[in-house]
Amino acid sequence: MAHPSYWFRGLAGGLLLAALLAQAAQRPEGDRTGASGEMAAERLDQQAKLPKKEFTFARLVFRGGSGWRFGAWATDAPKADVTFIAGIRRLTNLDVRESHFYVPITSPELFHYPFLYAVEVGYLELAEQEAEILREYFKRGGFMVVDDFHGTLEWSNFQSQMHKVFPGGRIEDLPASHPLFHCFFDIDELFQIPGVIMFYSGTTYEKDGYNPHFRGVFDESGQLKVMVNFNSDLGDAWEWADVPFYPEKYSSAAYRLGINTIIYSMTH
Amino acid sequence: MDRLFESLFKYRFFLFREGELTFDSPISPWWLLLAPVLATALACWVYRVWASGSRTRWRRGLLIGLRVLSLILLAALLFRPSLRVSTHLPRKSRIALLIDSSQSMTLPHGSGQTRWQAVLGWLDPRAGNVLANLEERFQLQAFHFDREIREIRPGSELPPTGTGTGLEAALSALRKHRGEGQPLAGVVVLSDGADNLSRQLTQVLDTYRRERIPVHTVAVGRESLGKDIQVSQVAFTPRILPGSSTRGTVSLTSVGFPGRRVSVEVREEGTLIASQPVTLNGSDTSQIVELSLKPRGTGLKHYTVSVAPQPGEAIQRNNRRHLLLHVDDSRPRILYLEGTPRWEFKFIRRALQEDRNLQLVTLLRTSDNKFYHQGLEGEDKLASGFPQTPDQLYRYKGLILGSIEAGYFTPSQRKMIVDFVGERGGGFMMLGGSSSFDAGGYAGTDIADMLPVHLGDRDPDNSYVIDRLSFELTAYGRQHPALQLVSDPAANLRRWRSLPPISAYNRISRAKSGAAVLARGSSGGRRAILLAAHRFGSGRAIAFTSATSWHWQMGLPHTDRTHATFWRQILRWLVASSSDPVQVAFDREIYQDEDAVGIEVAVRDAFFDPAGDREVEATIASPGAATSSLVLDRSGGDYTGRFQPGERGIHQVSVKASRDGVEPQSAQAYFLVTPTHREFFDAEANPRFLRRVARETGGRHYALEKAEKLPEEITYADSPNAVLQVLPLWDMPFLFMLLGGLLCSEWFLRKRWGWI
Repeated sequence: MAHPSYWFRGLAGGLLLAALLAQAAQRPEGDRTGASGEMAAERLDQQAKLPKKEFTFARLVFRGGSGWRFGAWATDAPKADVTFIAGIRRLTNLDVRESHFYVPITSPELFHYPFLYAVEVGYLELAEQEAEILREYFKRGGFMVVDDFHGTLEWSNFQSQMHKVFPGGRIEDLPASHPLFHCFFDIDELFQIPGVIMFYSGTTYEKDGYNPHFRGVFDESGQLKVMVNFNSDLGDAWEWADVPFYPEKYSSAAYRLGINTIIYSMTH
Repeated sequence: MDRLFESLFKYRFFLFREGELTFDSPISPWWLLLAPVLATALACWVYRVWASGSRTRWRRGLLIGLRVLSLILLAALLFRPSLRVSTHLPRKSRIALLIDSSQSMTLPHGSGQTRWQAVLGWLDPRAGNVLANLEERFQLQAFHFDREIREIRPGSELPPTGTGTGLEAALSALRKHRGEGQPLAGVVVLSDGADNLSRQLTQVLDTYRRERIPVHTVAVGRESLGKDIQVSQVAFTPRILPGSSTRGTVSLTSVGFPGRRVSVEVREEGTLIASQPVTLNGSDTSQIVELSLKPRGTGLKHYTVSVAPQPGEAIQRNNRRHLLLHVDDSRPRILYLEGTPRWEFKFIRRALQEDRNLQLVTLLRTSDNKFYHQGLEGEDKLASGFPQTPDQLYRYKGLILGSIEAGYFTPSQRKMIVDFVGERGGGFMMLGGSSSFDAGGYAGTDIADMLPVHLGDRDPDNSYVIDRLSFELTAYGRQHPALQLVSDPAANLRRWRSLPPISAYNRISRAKSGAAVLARGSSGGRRAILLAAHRFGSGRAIAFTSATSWHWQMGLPHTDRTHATFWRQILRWLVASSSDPVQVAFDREIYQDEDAVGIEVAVRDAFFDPAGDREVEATIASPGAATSSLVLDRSGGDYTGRFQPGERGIHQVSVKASRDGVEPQSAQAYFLVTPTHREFFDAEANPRFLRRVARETGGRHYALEKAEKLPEEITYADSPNAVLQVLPLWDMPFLFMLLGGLLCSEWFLRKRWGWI
């Protein structure tokens, strides 16, 4: 007979899986295109009518993913975004737009949003023109945080996509003393922030992404342009922060790291 | 005419002007007031006897009038009218003759003579008797003057080679000159009036007036030299930061070339680095040409500013002036306080990140009780926020306030900010935002008094607008050095017009009087001031009513440097007038041979109060590497001294100030000594100046051609050793003719009307 805790974990995992599937079914219409398609552009027009604020938590719409990963950019959206935005409003005095916001790479609007959030970048597929747009975006002063990708294969894909954007750039682990970890909260301890998968797998990692890495993509001049949360899933930690069985420890860490990343992007 | 006057009135006209009318009778002249009454009574009585019966009334009145006038005149003569004048007894008074021997006296006087030749000719005994007349009446001492005064002795050489004209120095020296014989009773100045050294002449003239020593002036030379172009003045900020664009003015004066197209050219070691075409007005009025310079590199830049000589110019040496710019490789600090994380903050920081000549220290309020500071160098953490005491704030030369409400500051901090600008001379800039200007509650505060724009016109809740607005330079903004993205004015304007719009602004529509509006925004009929600046006390204040210039960075290709250039230049301009604790200044920008250099050192403490307790050492390094120390006189926190350079070229002045050997502070400044051409600038004869000298001292002014009467006329000038002379007027022919005329007229009329 199985141990009751396994039953409980299995039940919880099943419920969560159902919730995930339900949420996937509710993904934005544009997401189904799986790319920076017209539907996302239409959404952009609607978004543009919303009240403008100093800071917009802009989620990058990109091509990539297949099967149930189709439209990978929209993972955890919009709840992760909205929940995190509420946290930003509570903890900082940043004038932040309350609603979620999606912006395709090829949209001219991209350059109005110097901060981008991209998830599941293990499935990122950049055409040469898109890489060029992103290169220009970063050279003008844009900043991006990437999240929720795990394991050797996804890293390999991300690395090759970043190479298209920064041919002469480098990716390095950020030391604990890096200003990003101290510009708002002093983050002295860094650990893996698991996705909700931990409830049915019992592990904090996914695939072979056993160890978390908080890395930076630096351009040719040595400036940090992309904050890389590899083998961690801040998006899930924000999304499930209001669910009792997601440990507060991870949600809090995700909020702290997310806010620090935003403050860093607005000060460097 | 003069002779006719003298034959009628007995004396020369000037005596009536100089003298005082009196009655030389032992009887008080007040009795003369009775004369009209008695004369009228007598005349009426006589005519009552003579003219009874059918005589017409007007005829009788006319005759009575004539009789009354002749009786009054007769009565006046009985009181012995006289003219009282001051006069000098022959050779009992000393007169100094001052002859201008500066180089401008070599310029044409007219009729083929130079000014110098004309003066010598006037004094030449073979040509006239002026000198003899003077010597007959006075003890005469002759001097020539330029920068200084020298007595002319028999056999002295008199070349007009002086490199400056300083009447002030000459008159001052003359007063102290103890000549042999009588005290000085007057001065005769022979000059073209082209004085270029006097600074406090009025004080010297006051002294002469008080001591009743008249200065008589004789003007030589023409007021117009004919065709000429002169670079009258070159005015640029002498010290700028590397990478700054500086805009200055060149004053041109031209005569005789109306409509001529010329270029004002700036050269560095012969290489043309800037030029500005200009059409001459040729009207002898100053014409201002504005010119932008962006020196490359650092250190001292020695430029010449010139206009190419034109055919037929009278003087070509006045077509060129020197300019010395010190591109100071220093790094002034600017404090930027921001109330909330904003993209503008990030992009301003980025713009200055690689700027080695501006150090931006930022203080960002990230939550209500949290500040994130960047750019500090350890000694002052400012962890608790904005500086609390002036010495903390005064370390900076500039201050930027972002979107932070007025209520954040204590009253003493607000006053400290105002003093930072008004007294310390710092630069202040307020950025737009939801907590800036009216929206930040600044209306009515002392900080609002400091801004170049009026607050209080808008409801604070509606004064911050999120909307797109184009950024349009005003006419003044197009000329402003901080807004020059490229050197060509037309291309510069095109660049500004091509910028993406700003996306938010504070609604402000009125600038204060005296403030310069540099840019406005407009969209759909709405207009707002976007950029304005003015001087406030010793410093500068700028209002930039938006904080979305970051679109100029994110909205344009990364190769476009507009955003970075704008911020680097506007912040350089912001701190340009901000002084250091030790400041060295000179009384001129460029010196010429033989000029003495006046040096002023201002020493201030951490509160920028005068520090009179410092030991100040000044050394001067000459171009030939000779070093000399300079003794400075102390007055409060100001230290002054004078130095006589011995060679041409760039001299470095180094000043060290310390208190008991601690808190050492230092400063360097530079001055340039050039060959002298001063006498060929503003070299037109200036008789108005000479007339003023004569008027203010009670002397007389003459044109050289009309000065032959000078010896006689100045004999009657007032001075301490003049004596009073009474000249009787009763026997003046005119009076007898008048009296005779009145009586004859009366007789004639009576005869004609048959009354006799």
